[in-house]
Amino acid sequence: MSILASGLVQQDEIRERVRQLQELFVNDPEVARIDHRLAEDWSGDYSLFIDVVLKRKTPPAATVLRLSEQIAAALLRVVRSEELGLHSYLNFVSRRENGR
Amino acid sequence: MVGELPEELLDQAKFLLSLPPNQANLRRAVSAAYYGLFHLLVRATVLKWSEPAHQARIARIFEHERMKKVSGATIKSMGTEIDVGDSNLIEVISRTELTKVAQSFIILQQARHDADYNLEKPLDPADAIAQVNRANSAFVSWEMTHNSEVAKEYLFSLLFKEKERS
Repeated sequence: MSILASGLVQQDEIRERVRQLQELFVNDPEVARIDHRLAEDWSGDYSLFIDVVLKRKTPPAATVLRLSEQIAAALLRVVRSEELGLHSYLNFVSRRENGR
Repeated sequence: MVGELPEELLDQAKFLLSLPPNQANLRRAVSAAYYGLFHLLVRATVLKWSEPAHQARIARIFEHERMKKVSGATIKSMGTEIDVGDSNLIEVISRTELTKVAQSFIILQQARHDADYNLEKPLDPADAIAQVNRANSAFVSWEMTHNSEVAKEYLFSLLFKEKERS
């Protein structure tokens, strides 16, 4: 398989795994949606960035802590990006900052 | 040498989150959280050597990027090796907690870089809370796994290049 084809297959696999992650939290009352993008990290490694967009402008700390633990665990269990040679990064974005 | 620096940095991160959530406080909190975990791993490694002079020299060997790559390789290997049916409970817990530490290290390293250098967008207070909590959880996970063989192997790999991801 060519490098280009291999890369496309990998992107499809990542999209599918992220879709499974999104499904886990689609009914969470605090989560507006979960976005993802592929980009280079600080050292130039091609990586998976997960942005969790929250519904509230200022969510309680307990909510952030719960989601942080649950989504980090789901990254390891469902997305497993390291299998595909990608680091995963997890960030939270409040609705106000995101503007949506 | 390192003393209580890891715990002091984590406490500093928590304290900064208790202050008004301006960008300086939020960014310094994330940075302190990362360096708390960084120095926790450095201390755990250098304490394997009894000679203080050697400890100081070894502490300077650690490289952030190599530690990230080793952490990624550790997550990958733990993911394929954990088999509840073939392992005792303590071993499974050790591997699970080490995976959490490695994941936290990777995520916090990027978060710290963004906090210190990425001024394109403001650091979200919710994200700062999540990152500091991640460091706190990593400290707890490390306490649960630090005596295990997999944790010792992880520390050894952080120093030497043989276990980087290809």
